Amino acid sequence: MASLELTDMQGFLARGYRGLPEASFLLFRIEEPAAAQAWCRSLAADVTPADPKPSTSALQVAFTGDGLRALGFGDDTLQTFDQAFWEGMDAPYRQRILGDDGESAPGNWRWGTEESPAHVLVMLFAVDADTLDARVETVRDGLQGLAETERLDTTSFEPAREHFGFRDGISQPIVDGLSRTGAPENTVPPGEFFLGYPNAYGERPVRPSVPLAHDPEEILPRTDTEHSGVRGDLGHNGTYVVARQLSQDVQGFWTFVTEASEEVYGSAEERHRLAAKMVGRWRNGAPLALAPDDPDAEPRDDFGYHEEDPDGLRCPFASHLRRSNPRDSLEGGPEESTTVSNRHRLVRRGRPYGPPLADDFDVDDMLAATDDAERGLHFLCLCGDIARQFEFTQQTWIENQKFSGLYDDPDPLMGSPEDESTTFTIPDTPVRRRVTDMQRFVEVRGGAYFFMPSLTALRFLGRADLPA
Amino acid sequence: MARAPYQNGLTIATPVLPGHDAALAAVLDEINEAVPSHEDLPFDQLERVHFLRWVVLPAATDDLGRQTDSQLVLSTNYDEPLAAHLTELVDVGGPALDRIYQHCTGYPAPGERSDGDVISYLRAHDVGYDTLYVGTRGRTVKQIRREADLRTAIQQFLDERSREDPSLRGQSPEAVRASIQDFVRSDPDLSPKALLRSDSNFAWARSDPPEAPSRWPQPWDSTLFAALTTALLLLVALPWASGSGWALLGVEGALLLGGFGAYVAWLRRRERRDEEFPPVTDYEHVRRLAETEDRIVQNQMSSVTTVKAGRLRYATLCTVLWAIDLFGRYVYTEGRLGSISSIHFARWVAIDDGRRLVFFSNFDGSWENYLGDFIDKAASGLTAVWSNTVGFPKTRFLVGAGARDEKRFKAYARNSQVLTQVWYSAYRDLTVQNINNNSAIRAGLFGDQTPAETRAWLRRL
Repeated sequence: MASLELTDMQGFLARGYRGLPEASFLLFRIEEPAAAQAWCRSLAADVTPADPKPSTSALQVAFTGDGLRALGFGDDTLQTFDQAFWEGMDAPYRQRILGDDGESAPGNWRWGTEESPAHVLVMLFAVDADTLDARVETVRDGLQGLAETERLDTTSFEPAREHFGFRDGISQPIVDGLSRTGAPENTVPPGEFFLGYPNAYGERPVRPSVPLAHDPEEILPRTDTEHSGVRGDLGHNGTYVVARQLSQDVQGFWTFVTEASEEVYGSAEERHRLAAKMVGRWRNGAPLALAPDDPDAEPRDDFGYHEEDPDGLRCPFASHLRRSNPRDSLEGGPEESTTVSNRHRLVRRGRPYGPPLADDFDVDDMLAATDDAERGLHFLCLCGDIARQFEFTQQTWIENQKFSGLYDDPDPLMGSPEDESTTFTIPDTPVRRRVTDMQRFVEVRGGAYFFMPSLTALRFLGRADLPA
Repeated sequence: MARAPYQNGLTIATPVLPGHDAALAAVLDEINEAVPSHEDLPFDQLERVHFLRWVVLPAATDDLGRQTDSQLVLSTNYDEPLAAHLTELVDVGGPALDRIYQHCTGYPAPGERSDGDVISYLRAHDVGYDTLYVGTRGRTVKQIRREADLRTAIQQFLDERSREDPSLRGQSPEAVRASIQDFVRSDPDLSPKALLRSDSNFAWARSDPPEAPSRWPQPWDSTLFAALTTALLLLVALPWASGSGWALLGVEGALLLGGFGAYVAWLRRRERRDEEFPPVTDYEHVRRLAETEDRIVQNQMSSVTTVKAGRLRYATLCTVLWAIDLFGRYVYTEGRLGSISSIHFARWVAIDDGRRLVFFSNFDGSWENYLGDFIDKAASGLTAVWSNTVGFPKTRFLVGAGARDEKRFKAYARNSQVLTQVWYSAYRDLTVQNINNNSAIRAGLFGDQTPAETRAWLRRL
């Protein structure tokens, strides 16, 4: 088992703070670099580490590539990060990788663009709303050199679910070295999420680093990479955080599902079945691969597809669940498939936002509701390699209409179907059912790639010797 | 039964006239902008071309300081015979060929050239290939397009029938198959297939598909096999003929073993001396490449690398390339290279008298997925090839380590990649898996099936 330096990591790497249901995410623009550095110094003491676990509230902080640039770092630092990180999520060719077109194009985003940059992200978690508001105020009072650009509030549902009404957050990889343990096929090495540790290839890839001139106080540990000599190790015990604000069209989704279930199952009564086929789980979280006909079965995560469902008769190949983590069902046999799948895992830490369309999540109530409030998911995930994990998953599995031998099937839940030729194929006997003319129910409203530094690296950011 | 035709690869390398690089690039860019229907080369009228690309290989200097001028490489994957392919290319794209090749040395001047001259010019610059892998063995462009139309029409039929006749779902698999057969046999004017591009009806689908063999020999295989067998026989026969039997056999064995040992020792010495390059790429270069990617279902990769100095290195490279070519024709003939099912066509070509190695491939999905497959599923074979070129991650015993060094291998792949100036795909919305599945749908449409076969066939829809 890997030994992790938990006291140097931010707590968000180790836990999603389920016990702190209230959360707010604040975005800032850096206006005066020197003052912002002073702010970093004062904030460092308030940042919650992974150990010990906090009881009533937590604060985490992360920076975008633009944010580090605004602090005064140059290409000799930025370009040691993943190219995706310093180019930014809104770089033009990324739209094709991520499926951010039409209404979801970065030009229409509220934040994370050139016009509305996100330089610094402060995440606050608290046990209740009063504690949260108090912490937000404290952060605002202490601001120096930064201007707040967005406050992104969240909503918590018990049990955890998303706005369409499905249980969420059931499936997570187990990180070797953290306290949670589980099946080996769901366990990945810490380097997949924490920089500086061995990854799924058994390598410790080169980490973000800074020229020694930036670190006269020798705060950072030293790297010694042959080609670039001794540098300050900025990445160690840090991670990348992918943030995307995903707006959900709940009525659009259930209207579509209700009509489509009449079409392919001959009855609107079957809408929960069709929705489950699209998601891969029943609303309570029970996986179709284990419980194809029982909406009330236990919401489990210990299953594969190779034995239980090789032909997709239970859980369609095109379903969101099967394509966001194919487990043992890719080509090459269950063992190879599991190895390959585990090289593209994400730790998901998202939270819903906006009021529920109906408090009880009843579909009829949701369809009858007359409320046009915005709601959706603040998607957040951790990864050690943005291109190989987040962007790969998005491009090769979620957005890929050819996933698993399919033809025209986007992800029925999260995908961005390009035209009316798109379909959702449901393997069945004697022959498949097929929903045609798929629609988009989720739009991107903002997003950015962040770097969440270790406590040591954060201290360094406050004290770095940077050109004015 | 008709025998499935051979798909082959053509590689034409022509030196660019000094000072013409910019003008050539401008022509190629303009043509690429209008793929697949440029007026000088309406690609989609080519009935024998699966994929086509033009790539300019920039001028280079090798390890020993030898210069190579920039060259234009044309690479096609076509349905044999070659003569028909070249004739069609000149017929359909003559004006484009003239505009392109006027920037290359030795192209006949206007007024003096006939179609035959153009074909002769191209043939004279054919540099062949060392390895060619085909993921859709035995399927012509025409067959691929037709079978895709057939599958689309069957799917639309099933959608409509399910809506109009809910009792379909209660029918037996055999009955469902029979109604699909009836549909395909039905009057073309009443069905969506009348709208389809390649044929007005599916009469062709009722005839047997071409027989696709499981092995794809080339004429030179038998010569090589014969030579190898003869050598082996001589090794065994000579000792007995000379009367000294076991003793001589022992000497031969010792010599062979010694030779092999010396080779391995040489290889390890070289491998230890190899420089370890940092996993660093030119970000602007990567961005330029990435901006051309993910436009259609397939992507392409063109790469050029410098072969390490030394005859033994080159001999090693040639042997590995030959072995992979052989595997591709005798073992991996069903659309999968190992468990990689995303490669339409890929080739390696040693050029410049073996000083450089070119790699061209046409694959499904993202670059990141392709490289991941390389590392996860084909690391040994790729390491055996590319470890003979400069800049590859360090290896052990030819096939060990190397491509498994994920970050370095990805950096090597991006660094050696060059921009493909013109790229054309004959079926922009089909994956290898789609194409092979479409063929299986067509092959199983008529004819006898067991109940299990019918159920499996219906699952392909």
